Amino acid sequence: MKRPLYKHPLVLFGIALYVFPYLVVALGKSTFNASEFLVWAIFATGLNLLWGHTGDLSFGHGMFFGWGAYTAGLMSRHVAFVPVDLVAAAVVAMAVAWPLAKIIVRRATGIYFAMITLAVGEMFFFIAIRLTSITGGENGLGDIRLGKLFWIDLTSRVNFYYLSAWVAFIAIACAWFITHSPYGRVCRAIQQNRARVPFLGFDTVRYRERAFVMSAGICGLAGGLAAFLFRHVAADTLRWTNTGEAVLITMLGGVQSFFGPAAGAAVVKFLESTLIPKTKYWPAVIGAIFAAFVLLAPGGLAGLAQRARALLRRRPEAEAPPAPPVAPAVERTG
Amino acid sequence: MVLGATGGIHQLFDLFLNGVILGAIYVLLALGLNVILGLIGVINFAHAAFYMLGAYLALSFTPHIGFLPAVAAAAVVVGLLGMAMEVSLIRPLYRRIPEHALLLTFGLTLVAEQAVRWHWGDYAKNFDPPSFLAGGFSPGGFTFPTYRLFVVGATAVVVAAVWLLLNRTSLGLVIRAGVLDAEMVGALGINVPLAFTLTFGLGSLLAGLGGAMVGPMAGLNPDMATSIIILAFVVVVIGGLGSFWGSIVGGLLVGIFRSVLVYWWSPATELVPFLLMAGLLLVRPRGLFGVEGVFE
Repeated sequence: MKRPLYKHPLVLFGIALYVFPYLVVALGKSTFNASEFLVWAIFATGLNLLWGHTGDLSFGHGMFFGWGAYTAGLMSRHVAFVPVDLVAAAVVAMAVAWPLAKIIVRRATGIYFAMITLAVGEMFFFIAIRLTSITGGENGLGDIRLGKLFWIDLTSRVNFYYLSAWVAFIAIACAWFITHSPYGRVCRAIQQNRARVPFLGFDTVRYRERAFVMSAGICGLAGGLAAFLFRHVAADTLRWTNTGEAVLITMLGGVQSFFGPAAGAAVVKFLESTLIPKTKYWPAVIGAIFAAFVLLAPGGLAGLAQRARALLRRRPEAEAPPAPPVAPAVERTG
Repeated sequence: MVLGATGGIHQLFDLFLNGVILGAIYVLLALGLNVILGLIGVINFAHAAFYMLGAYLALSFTPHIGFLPAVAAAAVVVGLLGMAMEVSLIRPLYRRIPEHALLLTFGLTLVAEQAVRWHWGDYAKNFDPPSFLAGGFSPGGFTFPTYRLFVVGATAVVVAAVWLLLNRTSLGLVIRAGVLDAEMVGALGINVPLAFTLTFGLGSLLAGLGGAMVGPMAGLNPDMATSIIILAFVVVVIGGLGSFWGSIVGGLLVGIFRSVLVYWWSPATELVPFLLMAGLLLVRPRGLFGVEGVFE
């Protein structure tokens, strides 16, 4: 299937990244918010690389986000070059994820996997608040230095947005190429029918382990970016409540679509920043919307968009051609 | 805790007793989770929210009807709430993957937590044990606070009652058969959806009861759900998913280890449950009493 380069989803995504801050500012938020939305977009895409891809729902990816954030924060005191700190964040997250993947992935699937990752993440939270000399304990990690990138002053919010946009683009392009590689196709097969794939000669555990580690790396990158954005890392970033938010965003955006979680991040975070000044009970609103989506539209926003497109074309849904980036919501069996 | 004149053995005993009491609450939580998980195959994330609701409802009922009726009423109300939730929200998800029920109940937890904050306020609340359960007695220097003994006794009675219900009644037979093959049980003309609803109610009731009893020991605050849910999960994983005896042994084990190890190593309170889980995961991933092939 040949398509012109300018129609490539990643090119469209790049253009969207360029337009995005103008849209956010036009809707009454700041460029700071735009960068924050991108952090969550990376986080959710990273989580989805595992969850939407192999079907393993992790409730512990906040720990990789947190590890990345701590790493970038601590590195920034020694290496005043943001790209190196960010790469370090991703590498450390992956280095932590590798042994965890080895231990957890082969032993657990499904809800058992979710429970164990949740508990492991919480364990690292308690370790982090104990290691006060390194992590700052419950006060969190401050003194994160954000200097210049070559000649660009990153303390300017606009410049920081462009940094975030580049990081988001690179992270999401990596995820795209992983998803669309032969490796990624096997992962999707695992998600759709875990029992069948081994009969084709694939070692599902190894594929899932690798997906776990790579998704941890992207979440770590998101964490590193968050550390520079907020100039502070709270120990709570390691907690399951943080992962829970990413899970919520990913689900609302659409677990099985590629760009769904990123879109979900923008929508949910925009909604949150609108609700927070209005009511202190905003998590209840988000929680209720989320529950409604799980119940009525498990495909998330991407699933709804796909249905709307099918309706607009005035064809029965069964005949609608499957749009490549948005895979149909397939029920998993086995 | 200060090492007083009573000496090490008394302090160790205190810690042990505290561990048993802590464990009793974990047992109630894990048993409720496991009863639902075993039959329905659903992890109820809102379980801890039910636990919190039980605590707050007992607090609100006590001035009107007295302590013991308030605890019972809180547990029953939470149980009914669980049944209502199962019928209206969980049931449509049975045909989907089990993660969806986990996610839905996670969303409901957020709502429930804010509802508690809205109705009872953001701050911690004290809940004094009733006068006939206050105080304690100390034969030979060993201290027994009456209320804590009451909690252990009540938990033992409830666990025994659940065991009898599951093993000596026809409802229990249906539930146990449903664990093995719900479809076949339905084919025999038994109303399986009703059994599911009742089981969900039972599990929620246990959570509500645990919460109602923990109030006078630990106080109440709107964060109590977010912190306890992890421990409940850890106990379930340690004991074995869906296992009755696993909940009891796992709960007591975590409670006692958590409490007693503080004597030698103070970060134990937080870390021990996770270390126990991690150790077990390496050598026996299905948990102490887990059945091979179930949820693995």
